[in-house]
Amino acid sequence: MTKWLLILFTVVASSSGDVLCAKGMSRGGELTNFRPTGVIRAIIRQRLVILGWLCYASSFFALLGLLSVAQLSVAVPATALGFVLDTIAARILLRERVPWQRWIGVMCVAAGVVLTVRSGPTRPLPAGSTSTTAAQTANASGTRRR
Amino acid sequence: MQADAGSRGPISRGRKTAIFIFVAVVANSFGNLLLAEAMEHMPSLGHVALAHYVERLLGNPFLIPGVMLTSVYTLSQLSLFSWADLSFVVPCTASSYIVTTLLGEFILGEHVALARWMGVLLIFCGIVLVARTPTNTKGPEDIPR
Repeated sequence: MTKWLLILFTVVASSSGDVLCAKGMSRGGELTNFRPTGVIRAIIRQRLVILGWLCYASSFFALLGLLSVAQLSVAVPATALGFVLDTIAARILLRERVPWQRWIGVMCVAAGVVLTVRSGPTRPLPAGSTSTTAAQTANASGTRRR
Repeated sequence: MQADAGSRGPISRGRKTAIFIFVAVVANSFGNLLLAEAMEHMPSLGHVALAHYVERLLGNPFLIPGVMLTSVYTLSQLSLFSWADLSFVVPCTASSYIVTTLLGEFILGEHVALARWMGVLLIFCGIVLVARTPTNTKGPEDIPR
């Protein structure tokens, strides 16, 4: 039960983070100044992005909790679900017009991620490398913040 | 690296997107590799005093480069969000799984199972499909890549 709650929380929190960051960044308009200071200034001005980072951070800690009660092979397919959830959220919440090629593509990617991580390398992947999400959260949690 | 992406001079959106996705994917893959390397030299968190753990962490030579690369990844991805669809960016950055697998096979000398190569192939096909769709479906004009 704890396991399923943690999976749900990890996936929902990381997708919420993605949606908030995407919404926040698109609100500020297309970036044209790509000096690191310019990018950072554009980012910290957006409250939604900061909120998104809080979501990434909670997702990261939930993932750590999940890894303490479940095998990586259980945890990672769950985060692959995040790809699909992101696309659904992009369609509904961000009103992106998702073409059918993109739906098929995302499903292929999610299936591929499950296959890739399940069959694993000879040494276990660190939590951060198992998904974009986890890596993002690592940043958010202030290891630097990613 | 981001400064090269062209704050001056005309550059097509598709080109800019490709550059940023490339930077994000490479930085993410190598950043994760370095962070994994850093964590491998760390004691288990429950077994040592927190102060000692932090000291070990900060003294770890892989940590700072790993954190810097992950930061580059974050900044590139957030920049992408400013003009590209979330449903475009997220699958494309999954290329990092492909890079990580290639790194494992050819640099770390790990044995990569056949099933994993099949996974990589699936991810690749998925990304090809996604990459052929317009970068932005919300804006007034879609500029196909």
